[in-house]
Amino acid sequence: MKKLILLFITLFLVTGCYNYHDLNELGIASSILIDYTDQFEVTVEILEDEKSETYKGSGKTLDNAFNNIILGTERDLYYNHLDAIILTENVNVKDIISYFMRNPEVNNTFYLVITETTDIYKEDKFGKTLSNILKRDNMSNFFDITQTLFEENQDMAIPYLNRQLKIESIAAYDEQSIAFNLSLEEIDIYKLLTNNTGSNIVTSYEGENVEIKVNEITTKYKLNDEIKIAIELEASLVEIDQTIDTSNLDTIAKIEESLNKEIVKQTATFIDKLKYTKSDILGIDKMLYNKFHNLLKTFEDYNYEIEVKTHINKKGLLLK
Amino acid sequence: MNFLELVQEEYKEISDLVIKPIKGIHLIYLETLADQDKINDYILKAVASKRIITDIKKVLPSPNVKDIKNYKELKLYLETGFTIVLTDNEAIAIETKANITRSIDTPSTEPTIFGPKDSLTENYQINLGLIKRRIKSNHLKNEVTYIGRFTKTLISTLYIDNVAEKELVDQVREKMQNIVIDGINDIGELKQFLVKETKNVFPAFKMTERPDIIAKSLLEGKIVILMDTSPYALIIPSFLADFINPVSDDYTKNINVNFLKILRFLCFFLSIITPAFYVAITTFNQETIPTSLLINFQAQREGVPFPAVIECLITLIICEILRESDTRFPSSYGSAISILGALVLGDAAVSAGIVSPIMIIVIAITFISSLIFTDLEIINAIRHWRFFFLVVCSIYGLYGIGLSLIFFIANMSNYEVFNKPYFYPISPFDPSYIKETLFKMRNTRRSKILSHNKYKGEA
Repeated sequence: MKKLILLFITLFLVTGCYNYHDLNELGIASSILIDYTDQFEVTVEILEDEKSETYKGSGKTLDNAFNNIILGTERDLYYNHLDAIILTENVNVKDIISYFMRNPEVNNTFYLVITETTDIYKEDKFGKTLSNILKRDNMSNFFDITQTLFEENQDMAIPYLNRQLKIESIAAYDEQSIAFNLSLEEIDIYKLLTNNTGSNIVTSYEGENVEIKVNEITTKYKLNDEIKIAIELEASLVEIDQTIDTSNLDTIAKIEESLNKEIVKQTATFIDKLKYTKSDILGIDKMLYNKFHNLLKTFEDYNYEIEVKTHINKKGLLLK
Repeated sequence: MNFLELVQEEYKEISDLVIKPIKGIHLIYLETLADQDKINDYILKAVASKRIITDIKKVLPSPNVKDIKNYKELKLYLETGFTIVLTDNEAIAIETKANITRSIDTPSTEPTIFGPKDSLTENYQINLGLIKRRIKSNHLKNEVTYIGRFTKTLISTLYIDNVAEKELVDQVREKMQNIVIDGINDIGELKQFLVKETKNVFPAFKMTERPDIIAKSLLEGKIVILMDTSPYALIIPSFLADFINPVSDDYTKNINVNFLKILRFLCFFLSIITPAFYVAITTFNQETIPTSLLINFQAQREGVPFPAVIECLITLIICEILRESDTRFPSSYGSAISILGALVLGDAAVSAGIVSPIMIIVIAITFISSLIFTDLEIINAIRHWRFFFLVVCSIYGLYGIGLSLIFFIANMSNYEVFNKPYFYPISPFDPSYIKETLFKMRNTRRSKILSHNKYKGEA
């Protein structure tokens, strides 16, 4: 009985008004731009009725910089509705992420973006726009990235915002700094290798370009003396020259064959590039460690065998 | 033993007592309660036409003649409108009640679109007739008792003897016999003598004015209590599910009714939780609502000087005042209240910046949801819990809704009326009664808790 009473008392007393915020005291932050030169330069975009305002602050630490912003606004900063955090290249990503992970009042579905320029707030609600773009492109959000962050054996891949304010590449990290930027084609291959749908692959068949869209995918890694990557994908035809007769099953089989070769070729080049830059964004080191419990084995030392099975099951509304 | 002398002695200062001697017999009646025409037809004409009266009972053409055994019975008959006929060796009572009642009306508190349109009146005989028209069986029993030292109000306990549980009937009978009171005016007063006053706010018994609900309850094995001078009947036992579902559900198609039944349960919880939920999400858990909605809330609350919970309490109390004044006031003045309520309190309170427009919407949803229930007592109970939830949520946020719900469910499952669980048929779970209350499906079984007679339609 005493235990029961204790339980009930804790139910009521150990919680309470700690997270009380009056609605009108909230400055709902939509996006945060963090730059580091000799100190942190922070810009916060706060949503207001139908528009957004930006506030700037600086400080030796990140928290100092945020407190510096509060001095200039009538509201508290509220991070539960964050859409995006935008970092410049010279910021240590892990430090920033750990700061936001320590705060209980931050949502975890916002997007993390690396930016080339700090002059991004030209339009209202930029954070919302950015988050919508990344959501449509099936990019990994903060929650997905934090899973790779504190794994010792995996490097991060973060979307990269260029000077035209477009997301045209992904920044692949090597330990601390950006190793290289993935091109659009490489992003498609990266999606295939990380079991994500939505990538478009272009191949050539009888001298004409054929484009397919991946609808379903299963990618498996087999780790032995060499690493075998088996990709099976279901795809639909998106664009094809009209002289090619798609109602002929042999033609489709040939297109599939050519796609297989194309994907194998591109994947091999991609993995070579990863090896060269020592950026393990696929997390193969982690798989190796899980299998062999040996930290000395790294993904660069292995040979790769790639096997692709494409199946085109949809040709759109046209029969031919 | 001379009844005549006793009556003359005891009814000395009662102005409407008439003692009329005719041909060696005496007629005694109270002229306010008795119908002069009936006395004329049933007694006087017959007596006048005979020269010598040998057996008075054979002479009188009245359909309702009772023998009087003692003086106490005589007084009871006299005071209920009978005419007492005293001869030298016997005393009989002849029914000559005046019709002091209104005619059968349509139900005013439980209206339905389909279904019978008659309702109980203040006259016990008519009420019993309305029920017996529906259940034509000698198994429908009614036990009559009189309660009140002065009022001597007739109370009748109705049940179907081979469906209802005998223990329950015995329990009710025992409670009835132990009631000692000067007088009783309405069946609502009787309720407090049947159960102990507890802290639970939900009504222990359902009161109804519809004979079809009474007939349905009797067939389920419940007990119905009728009272003379009250146009309502008590149903024992009643469960929470009975209050939420009107009887008119039985008169429409199953699949459509099931949608409404789910809607009603949703409304039950909406009317309890909505204000608390609003306060919780706007002051504690702002992360749970979409960003654009949060910004809307923020813009609308701009300039409201009070915290959300105070704002909510102000609006709720204003609405309760409105509702109370609306029920108290004669209906001919009702339009004044609605204009005041809608225009002054609704529109002007927002323009004056006392409450935010979104709060008006929240309170409107709350009140409209609670108006789905016809029973005033269940609305009052819902209001009680609404304030409880609001206060808890203003301290704990959404966590408070979880805490209050646990408390609410524990409280409700613990509540028993006449040893029958109030939260039935959810706890304890009984599919056969769920098919009649929470959902409407074909059901051939009676509920286990109400009757030992398992199947419907069997003797």
